[in-house]
Amino acid sequence: MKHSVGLAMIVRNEEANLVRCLDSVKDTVDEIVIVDTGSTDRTLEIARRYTAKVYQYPWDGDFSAARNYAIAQCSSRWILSLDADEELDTTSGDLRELVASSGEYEAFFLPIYNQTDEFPDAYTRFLVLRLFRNTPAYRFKGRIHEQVVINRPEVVGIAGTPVIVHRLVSVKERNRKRNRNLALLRQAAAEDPANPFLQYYLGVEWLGLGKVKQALPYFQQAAEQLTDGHILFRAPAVRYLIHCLKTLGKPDEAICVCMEESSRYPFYTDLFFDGGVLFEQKGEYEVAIKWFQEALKCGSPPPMFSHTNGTESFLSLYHLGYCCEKLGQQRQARHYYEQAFASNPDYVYPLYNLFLTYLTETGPLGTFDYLKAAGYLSHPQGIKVLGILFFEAGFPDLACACFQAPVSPAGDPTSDCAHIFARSLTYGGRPGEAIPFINSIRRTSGEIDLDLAVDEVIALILSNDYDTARARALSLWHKPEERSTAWALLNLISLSSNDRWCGKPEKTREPVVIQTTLTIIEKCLRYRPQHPNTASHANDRYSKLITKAIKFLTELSPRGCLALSSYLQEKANAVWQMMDRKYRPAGRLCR
Amino acid sequence: MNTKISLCMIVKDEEQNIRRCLSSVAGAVDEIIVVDTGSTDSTPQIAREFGALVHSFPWNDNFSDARNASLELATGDWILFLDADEELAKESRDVLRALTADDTVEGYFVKIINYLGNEGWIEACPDLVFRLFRNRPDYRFHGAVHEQIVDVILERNNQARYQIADNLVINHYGYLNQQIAAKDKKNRNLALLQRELAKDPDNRLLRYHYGVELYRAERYEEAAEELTKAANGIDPQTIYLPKLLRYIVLAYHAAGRPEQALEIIQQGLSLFPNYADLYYYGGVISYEQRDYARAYEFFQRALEMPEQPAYYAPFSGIRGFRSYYQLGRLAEIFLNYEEALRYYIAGLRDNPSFTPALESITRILEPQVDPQYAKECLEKVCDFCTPQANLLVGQILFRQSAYQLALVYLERGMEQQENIPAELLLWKAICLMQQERFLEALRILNEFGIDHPLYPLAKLNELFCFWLQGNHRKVQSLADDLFALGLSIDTGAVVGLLRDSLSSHKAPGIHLGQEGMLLFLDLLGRTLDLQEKKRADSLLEGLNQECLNQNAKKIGQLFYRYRYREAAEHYLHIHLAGSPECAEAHFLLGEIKEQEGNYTKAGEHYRQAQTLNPGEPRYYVKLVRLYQNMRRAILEEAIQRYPEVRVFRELLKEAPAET
Repeated sequence: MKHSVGLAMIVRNEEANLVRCLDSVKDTVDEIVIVDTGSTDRTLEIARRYTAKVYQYPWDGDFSAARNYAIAQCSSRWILSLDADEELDTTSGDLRELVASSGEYEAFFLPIYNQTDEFPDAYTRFLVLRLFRNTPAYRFKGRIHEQVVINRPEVVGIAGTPVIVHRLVSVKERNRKRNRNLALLRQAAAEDPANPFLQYYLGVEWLGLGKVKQALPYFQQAAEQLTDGHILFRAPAVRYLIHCLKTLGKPDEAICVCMEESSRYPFYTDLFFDGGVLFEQKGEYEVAIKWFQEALKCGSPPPMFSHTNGTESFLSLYHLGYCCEKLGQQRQARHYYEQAFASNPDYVYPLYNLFLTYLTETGPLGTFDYLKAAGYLSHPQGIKVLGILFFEAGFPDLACACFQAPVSPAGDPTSDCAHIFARSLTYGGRPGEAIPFINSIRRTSGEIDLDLAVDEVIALILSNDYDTARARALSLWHKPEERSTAWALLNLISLSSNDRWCGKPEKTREPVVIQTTLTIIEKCLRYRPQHPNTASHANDRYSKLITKAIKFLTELSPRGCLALSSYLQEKANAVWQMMDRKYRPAGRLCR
Repeated sequence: MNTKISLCMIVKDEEQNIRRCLSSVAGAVDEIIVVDTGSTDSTPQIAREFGALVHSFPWNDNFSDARNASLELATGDWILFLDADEELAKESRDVLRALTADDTVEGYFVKIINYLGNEGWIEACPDLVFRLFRNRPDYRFHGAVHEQIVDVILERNNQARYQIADNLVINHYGYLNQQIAAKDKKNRNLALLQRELAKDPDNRLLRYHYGVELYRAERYEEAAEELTKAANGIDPQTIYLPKLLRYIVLAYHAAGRPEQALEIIQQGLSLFPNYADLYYYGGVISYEQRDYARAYEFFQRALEMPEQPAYYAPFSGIRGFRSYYQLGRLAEIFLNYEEALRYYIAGLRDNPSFTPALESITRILEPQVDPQYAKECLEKVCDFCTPQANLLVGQILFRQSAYQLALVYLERGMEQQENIPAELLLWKAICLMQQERFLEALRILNEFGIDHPLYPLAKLNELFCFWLQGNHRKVQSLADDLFALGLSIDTGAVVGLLRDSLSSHKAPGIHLGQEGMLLFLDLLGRTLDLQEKKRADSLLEGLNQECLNQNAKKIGQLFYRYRYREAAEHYLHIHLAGSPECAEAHFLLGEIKEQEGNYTKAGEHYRQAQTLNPGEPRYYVKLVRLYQNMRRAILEEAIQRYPEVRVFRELLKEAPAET
């Protein structure tokens, strides 16, 4: 086959990652070669499910040697090189098409997205040479951070797709690899001290370990010695340098680097973003705004420049909003937040700020109407965030309204916001609907957590179903670690149903009992009577329960009284703070 | 060398004023030129008495021509120009000589103090006018309405130096007796100005005057537009710029465009950071926008401003009682009555005739609840040495339904003064009724003859008097009398309702219009004031359901005012059933629940009120206080329950006082 592609990879103890990696490419490549350098877990077993070409290679501290060994086992015309913690995103583009239309090209740079956060579009983009013809001349060099070196740039193409995705890995796993890498790198650097690539990689490894101070000099040297011919390395070196200076509390030096480098690369978005962030941290919001606006103007930088996704759009927009807010330009701030969310709805942070500025200015109903009209409730991510925000801000009814928007994921008991939806129903005046919903959560996930179990009991009390409430509370009581919580619930049930105590818990349980009760009071206080005329006695159930809870704590012990007293003090302070935010200049009038 | 000063003026039928004017300059000027444009009274003779050269000039619809005719006749080195309703202030006579001795100056802006009769007291509003200038043949007035000379001087002699001399003062009494120009005069001015502007569209000053006339004619949108045009690209040194800016603000405000008004205020303050009036209007507009924090800042700044230069033409009281009053209102919005009283009292000290402050003070003192305390406080704030003062306070109290105390002041005022207005006698009768002194009340009411305009009202009160006593027969016959007078539908309905409420057979509920409802609510309030709850209920039974639903909130508020919480709650719930988004109703329900000691329920209502209307500071304050009161209650119970734990006593001592 003229355009056959073989995947060549080396692995060690990758049972956690290998399946995802191989699943992502198995239908795209013609052969898979896996070379194991000494796994002690199920890596080999997994590998064999995908290919017969699994080989053992005794680890000799040389990545290039191992990789070249793997390539040697490949018979395809092209080699694709991946690591086990990477995936090929074939939905972004077709590898075969790329190879089929390769023409004179001997190799390709592919974009790699290094994930930096949980949400989908949080990544920094680099270019890596991972696809090349299977020719003896193209082999890996360097013991570590091995590269395929091709000295004729004209035969190396830059492909926009497909994209390699480098997933977030656990800190523990990363550090394990890093320590090993560092040892190897130091050895290599000792042999070749002038090599700026090694300097760069040493910086990366130290930074990865969180040792910013150690990393700094390496990046300084790398940035100094690398030329624009190695922009693939120089660009990230500069950005890491800025990052290190910033982290080490040297913002002015970092700003100097931003200024110098941005005049050298006036199209390099990320430098303007970094500069903006630095000025923002110094509190110079007006200047920061100029830098962020410049970042927006740049758009995406050329592919050879490593690039943090969003600095050309949502990240800068979000920071612009923040700076405007700090300058008291609320309207402009909201405008930026809106744009930020629109350009990437998975990046939810602008929604928090948007929510807060609206809440302070127009109140909860105005906020809800605005957010709904602006379309934030037609996106599952928006619904989830806003539902939580409304609940936490004390408006469970509005949280319910969010969760019940047409495309809401919350109605599904397995969704990650089902809990908060159930809670919103419980405290938003609809405990009767909460009970079956909590039941369906229990059915689908087998078990419910303690918080939700408490909410369920409260919903039952509010629905006057004391028997079921008692049964649920008793089943909690039977678990030793949840017995204190159960004590609080049993007493609230008893006080609500016949105004009598169920029993006094031991002194040692008091802190948990008090905390549980206060949490219940806090949540019940979020209820507001909206239709006072519909079954007016039913509207008293929250205030009755709060009254019982207060009675319980007062009669429990002096500690209970004290906790209540400081809780109410906090409540008063919280309202006062809200007032202060809203009416600060008129402060004298508020007291 | 002594310079010669000519006084020039144009007059027509000014015999009331001209003597004052000419006396004020006698001996201070060297010649007097009076151009008469057609007097039919003794104006020319009086002028001649003062040695004036009087010249007749036929009126040609152009003020400038007449003024220039007077200039033609002047032989002095300097011209002082006055109108007949003005005078030179006494202490300015010497100043005049000193000013004209300065060789380097071509003319002076001098201070004019406009006396305005306004809202029951006299206001002195300073401004600057150009009235003293060298006598040169090419310095002439132009403009048919707002004759001006300044720009002529500038035009003719751009080296001209003119200065501000605010130690030379002219008093202007013209606005005192007559209201500013009648409407047709305004329209005539507008037409004249429009014509002039068409001829001279680049004349900024003319456009300014045109905008001001539009504003006076209440054509605010156009006024704002023209005035803004006049201000665009203006030299910031222009003497009338501060006034122009204030007019733009007022025009935008009146045109219902507060955002633009505030923007102009910001721009104006960047040019004139000490301009108190702009801060004041910024405060007024922010207040209306319910941006209370900003309003507070604006009024505070207005108070902090230094003495205003005359060319700002500052309104009176901006740096004093007006801003104090507004701050008092703001403090009330934050339920901070102590602070509010402080501001109102400061306002009243600054201007003892400023009745709005007195009304607010009275309201805060709740004279209907504790008349004795209110009386003591009022006596501290006010000087009650005149009968007018007593009657005024009596009326304020009456309007606030504080009948007992109103009676005290009305009686006191009436003892000191003859010729009591009939309306006050009627009010006194009502006050007596509200003390159940029916006989005395009836005696006064019977004094009203059938021809008196207040006769029907007196009769109605007589009827109400008997209604309160349950005198069915008397009510019936008085009702017949009243019907015979021919009452409006609404009033008739209320009379019928009163009559029928005493009879044993129930009439079907009626519907009252707005006018009838006002009367009804007044009578309902008075019934409750007398603690006649049953009678009040019998009145309400006479209304149909729809009418009750529509007025449930007002009825609920009345019951609440007279501490009938249960009934208040009942009607507020009826109101909420129809208007579930009424924050105020929730607020009142919260207060009711709080007074009943049901803190948790009160909290729900306050929070709902706050949710429905988050711009209202009262709701936040109430919530803070509610949590503090709950905390007090818990601490008090803890002290009872655990007397051995000392910390609760200490906490209670430190806790904010109950509110």
